[in-house]
Amino acid sequence: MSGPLLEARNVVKEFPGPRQGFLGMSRATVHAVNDVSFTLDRGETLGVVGESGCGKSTLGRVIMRLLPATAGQVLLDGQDSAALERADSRAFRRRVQMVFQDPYASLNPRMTVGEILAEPFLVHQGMKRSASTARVAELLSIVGLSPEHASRYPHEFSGGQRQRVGIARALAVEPDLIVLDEPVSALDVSIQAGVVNLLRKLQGERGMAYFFIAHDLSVVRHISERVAVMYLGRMVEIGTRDRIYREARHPYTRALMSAVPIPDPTLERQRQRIILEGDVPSPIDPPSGCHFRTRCWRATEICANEVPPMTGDAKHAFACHHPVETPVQLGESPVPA
Amino acid sequence: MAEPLLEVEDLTVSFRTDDGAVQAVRGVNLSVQAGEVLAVVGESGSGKSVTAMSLLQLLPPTAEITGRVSWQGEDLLSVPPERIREVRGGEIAMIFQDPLTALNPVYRVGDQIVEMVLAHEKVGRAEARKRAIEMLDLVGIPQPDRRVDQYTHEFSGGMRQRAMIAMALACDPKLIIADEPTTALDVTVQAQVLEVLADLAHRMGTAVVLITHDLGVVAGMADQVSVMYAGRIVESGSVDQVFDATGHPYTSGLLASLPRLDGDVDAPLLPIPGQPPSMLAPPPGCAFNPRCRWASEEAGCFTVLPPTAERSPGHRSACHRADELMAAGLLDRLAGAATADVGDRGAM
Repeated sequence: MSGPLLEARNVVKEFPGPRQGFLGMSRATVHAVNDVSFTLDRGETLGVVGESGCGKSTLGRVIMRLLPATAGQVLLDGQDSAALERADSRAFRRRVQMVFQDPYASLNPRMTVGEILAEPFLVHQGMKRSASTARVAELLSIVGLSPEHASRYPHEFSGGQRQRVGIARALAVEPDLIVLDEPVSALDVSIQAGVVNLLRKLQGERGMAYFFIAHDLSVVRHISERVAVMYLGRMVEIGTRDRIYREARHPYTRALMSAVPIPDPTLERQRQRIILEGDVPSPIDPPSGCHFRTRCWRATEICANEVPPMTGDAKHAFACHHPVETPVQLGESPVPA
Repeated sequence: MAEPLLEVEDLTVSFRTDDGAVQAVRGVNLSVQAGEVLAVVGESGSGKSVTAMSLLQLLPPTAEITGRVSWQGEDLLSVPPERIREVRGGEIAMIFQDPLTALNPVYRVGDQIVEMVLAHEKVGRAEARKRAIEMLDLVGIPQPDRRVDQYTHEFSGGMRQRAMIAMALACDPKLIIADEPTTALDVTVQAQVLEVLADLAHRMGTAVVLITHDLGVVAGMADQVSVMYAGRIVESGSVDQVFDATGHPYTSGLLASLPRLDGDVDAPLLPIPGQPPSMLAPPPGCAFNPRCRWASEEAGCFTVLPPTAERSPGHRSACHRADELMAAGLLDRLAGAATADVGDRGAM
């Protein structure tokens, strides 16, 4: 048990794209996740950031085995997760759980919260419904709700409360890993803070690992020990929180960070933003070489010809031919004027 | 100070529903000067979008609006419908959150801008088309002479939002109302769009009312800020006054709950406990009292509606205890972390 809890090795996920060609006889391929490798230790949080279409949610679903990988492997405690799931899918799901973005869509509106939370005990532990009541009450209080809430339906709860129910459901089987897909982005900020604190507290008490998918760099910074940045299906940079937020080397990470608004008017007036040109290219026909080169201010010929390899160590690695050398300064832009 | 371009006085909006009247906006005052960016901030259900929509009478007939919306001296709530149509798009333009629903998918983008110009100005079609291309170029859409003949599905999210800004600018309005213009966009695209908007506002002297929930965007864009809670403006002032000399516990709570790129990562965030009240039956006294850690019986927080008072020139807030809390520095940005009982404060 000395290796990482989770290891992704060259994971690729492709989807069939729109029909094309003569009479639509051929199909394009959407390259959603492209050769992604990383590790996640026990009790650790890996924050995964990137913009719409970068493949972060698809990667989360591949880890959950909600989607099969096209190529590559995901290992849980050194064992191939596809094989684990085939052999005993319930045992696999006891170890890996998920919290979804939309707490309105991910809870069955016809079940009471008590029934929703009893389900894991009935399915995974063969418990009788009557015996699960005490466990449900315990779960509710762990996530900051009261046991009386068990008899209510999801629509009677606010968004933040519903997300707590989603978290409680994931906790029920005491998993080793929870994949959280944008768990707080649908919530108002005053409510979001409470859910972020709850996730931190639960991890401190129970030691499960989080694969935390989000687009909000400020939230990710508050919850992650390590952070991975994705762009158009590839992981472009990964490292410890401090290295990423202080010394990010990949131009895309820098642009992303520079675009995040900070609620401080004095600082905002001083900031020089890196404004990227254009839009994210289509994952059906990504650019050759480095995917970011079409929007990168540092791109040269080599970027179009060669895919930059991931270089670095366990603390910090990035895939760029022309990494930024200077440390991150929120008030300044690394783009020469 | 010059005569304000737009002045809203004691605006109320309520909606008739089967459960009774929902009081979405309850006595809002706003004032926008020419060339100024006013941000109206609030969370879901605070009434900020309803306020924006009521200015141009874009609400359904179930809405009952009272008060005064004075546009360069003219009360928009009592002018005939023909006049409102003139103002809409011509003098005051609006940008919506979702360009896919705001733009018509079966018309070319250029034709929609042309239609807008023809509706408001006495120019020919060729002239209007030239203007459309000019506007698309102005908002940074590449190859505008080709893009003008495309449909919205051929545009990316960021470009659609720019096209909507182009349309809003086409008749050279004096005021743009932008309702969450970047909420649906990714952060790098948001930065592009905000830059376009800020640049145009400053270059062309167009005033902007920016409706948003994002305090980061406010800090970067706004000159003036009004913070809304439960249908009322609880604090207003310059962006520096509101962020650096905060005068209302709700504003202070919002700022403390926000994770920041430059904040202390090890300190827990401070959520505001509880949740916003139902607008069917808002609590008596100050609507924020159930969630306010400073609410007290003696100050009247539970019984008396707090009046809006000036805290410094141009800076107002509606809180019974504001003077006392501000003097003690308890509403400052970092005060929360030092004094609050940290941890998971049961906020739901």
